[in-house]
Amino acid sequence: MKTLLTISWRNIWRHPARSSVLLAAIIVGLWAGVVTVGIINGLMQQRIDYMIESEITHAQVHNPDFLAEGYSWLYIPDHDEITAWLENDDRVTSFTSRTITDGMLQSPIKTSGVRIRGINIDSEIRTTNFHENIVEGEYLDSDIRNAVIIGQKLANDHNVEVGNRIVLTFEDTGNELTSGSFNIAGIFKSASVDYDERNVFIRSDEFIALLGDEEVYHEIGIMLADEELAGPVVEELNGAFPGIHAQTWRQLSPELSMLVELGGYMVILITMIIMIALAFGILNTMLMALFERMREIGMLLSIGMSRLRVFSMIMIESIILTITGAAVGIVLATLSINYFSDTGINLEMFAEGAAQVGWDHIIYPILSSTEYIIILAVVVIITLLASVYPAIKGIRINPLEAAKDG
Amino acid sequence: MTYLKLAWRNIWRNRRRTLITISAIIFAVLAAIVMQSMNRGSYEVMIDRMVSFNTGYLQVQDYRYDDETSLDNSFYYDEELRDRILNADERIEKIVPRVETFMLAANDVSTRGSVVFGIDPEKEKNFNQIENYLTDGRFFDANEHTAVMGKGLADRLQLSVGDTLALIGQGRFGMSASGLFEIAGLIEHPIRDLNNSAVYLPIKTAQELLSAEDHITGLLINPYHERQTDAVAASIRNTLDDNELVVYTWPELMPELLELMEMDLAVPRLLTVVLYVVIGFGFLGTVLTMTMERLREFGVLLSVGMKRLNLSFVVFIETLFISVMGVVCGIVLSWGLLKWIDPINLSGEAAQAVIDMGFDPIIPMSFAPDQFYIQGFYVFLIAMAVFLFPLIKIVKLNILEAARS
Repeated sequence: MKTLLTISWRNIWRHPARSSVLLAAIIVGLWAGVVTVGIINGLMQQRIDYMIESEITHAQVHNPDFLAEGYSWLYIPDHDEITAWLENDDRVTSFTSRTITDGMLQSPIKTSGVRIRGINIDSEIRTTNFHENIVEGEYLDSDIRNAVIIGQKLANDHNVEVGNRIVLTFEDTGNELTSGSFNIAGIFKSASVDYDERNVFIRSDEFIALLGDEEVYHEIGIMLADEELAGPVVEELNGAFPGIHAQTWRQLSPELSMLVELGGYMVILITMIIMIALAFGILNTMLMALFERMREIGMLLSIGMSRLRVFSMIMIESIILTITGAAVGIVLATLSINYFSDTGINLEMFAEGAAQVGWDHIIYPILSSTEYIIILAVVVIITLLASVYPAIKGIRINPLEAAKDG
Repeated sequence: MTYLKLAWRNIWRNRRRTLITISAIIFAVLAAIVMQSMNRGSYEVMIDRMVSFNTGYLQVQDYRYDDETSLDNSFYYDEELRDRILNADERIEKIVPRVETFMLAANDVSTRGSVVFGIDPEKEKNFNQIENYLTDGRFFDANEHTAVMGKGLADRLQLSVGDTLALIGQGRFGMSASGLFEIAGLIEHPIRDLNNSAVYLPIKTAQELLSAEDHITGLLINPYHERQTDAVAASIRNTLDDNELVVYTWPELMPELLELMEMDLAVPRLLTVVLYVVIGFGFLGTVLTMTMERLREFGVLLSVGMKRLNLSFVVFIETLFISVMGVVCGIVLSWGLLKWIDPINLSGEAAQAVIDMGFDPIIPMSFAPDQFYIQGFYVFLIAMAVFLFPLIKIVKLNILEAARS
């Protein structure tokens, strides 16, 4: 065994160019796998964070029928008790109450159906960062009376701009049609065009004054210390307050859960393609290397080395190369992931006009230690598998033929 | 010519070596094309869905409609206009007229904003298979006085099949428009916003309701393939020359969608570069070992008096042969492979999440021809770049040492 090790070790160093090319292929393969998974993870996490932090929050409370029907009289019962409960729970970092009703927006040009969202500026800013989406004018903290902010798409459709006046019509809590005229204070642009087209924001106190005599809220958005807490908190809320329906972000947004699930699928598919490409590259290199060594192997067989020993010798060489390559590769991959998770990877060169979209053209890759280990294991196994075939081929040769070659 | 023959013979002298090198190229082409096709496939299906329910790949409108989406800016549409547009370009596959406007939808107590579409049921079915999303009742025929509406909107108004829906709004040139319609069917619309707001009427009924007889707001046109959009737009533009009508392509109609898709495509592009690096290194390994194996042969040839330049030329021709064969085989094989795996069926939670969004749980493959030759060409470039290595080696080769090895 010791002799075999020594022979293998010397073989590797006898052909520095061939060995280093194999090493390089393994290193690059591992690096590519790690970086790919890191980038896709980073991209998805960024999108999820963006949606959660700008709008959806980790959990929401509604009247059970509100999301489907959107009427203003479907407000949250026991609102003050719920907020008191949230106030006293230390898993909750912040929360905000919103007054929401479906209605219509009228401009001189046309009428559109919109969801009118009345927000409480102080708690909204503490809870979400939607105010960062303002592209023109001001947020609702402006001094303008009856201020409204609308999406860029909607503003274009209606040919309106900051300073113009629009009319919002909706049903109040008593089922009566009510209108109010509002001044456009600002224009926002979020990641979703549909969202920009269907939602307008006003201040909740001005909204409540139009809706009826009571202070009503239809939605409580809750940010938690950790995303994982959403499930338990929602369960407790539903248990403690019978007349409401609390949901986690995953239940609230089928788009997001699709993104998460589909993204996971794509990671697997793309990693598979890259790994297969890696395996084939290594297989070819090994085969080529073997043909170059036919004469040598024929010689070894002719002077009496057993086929098993020759096979082991080739495999030991592969194992040494694989382990070295994997070690170097994982160090390089970790270094580059760490580097890019600080500075980010700018995708501008791959997407025209990405900078205008603004929200995710810089990707910060993320990788959990489990994923490092899985990729490492996959690369090692693939490399070893790719070297078995040439090794088998090697011991099948006819020593006489081979020794004659070259 | 001698060199060509020499190169050709060299290739087949060592069949095994050549086959390995070619297979390396074939595999590189396969990997690059499959990856590209998967990305393109999901991209195309996304566009197709957005486009067939919203705007069409091309849309003819009155030139004022884009500024002011009002019925006042609708246009006269008859068979003469239809034939003129159909004759403009033979790549037009489908042509669908629509009237679209905002109206109030109401039951006996409350109202909701809704988007009313006047459609030709047969053409629409052919255009976006909308009847597949029917959950209750049936789809109306062209001459009926009934409506089909999004299930979300119906739920909000507590209406179901057989109930009466009231539509209130404004017709063309400020005429008041209101009518009562029996609900023929409900659809679970795949685009959620439309599920909560869409009402479909037969186009004649809608035109009557809106005092817009024979007028439509948009004419949706689909070419056979998405990539023909621009060419078809150009022909239609020519036909409509002196008219008040203009034609828009889907990127013009939904610029925001395009912008976001650019972003979605950026990551696959980056990953393709990563794939090229992996391919390049695997390839380098094969070529490098091959060169080592042949050093002795090169040394002998140079010692018997062949010029380095000539030898380089022969080797260059060999690599050209090998690369071209590899790329061509790769393209053919990848087409077969794509046919075989298309479409990839999702399973488990991923499938459920996609179904919840109203999509089919599949990842389709794209068969756009340009991806085959573009990816093939890139791999060819990578191959040629890697093949520079043996050439450099020949130029630098120490004859004595090589012939001795």
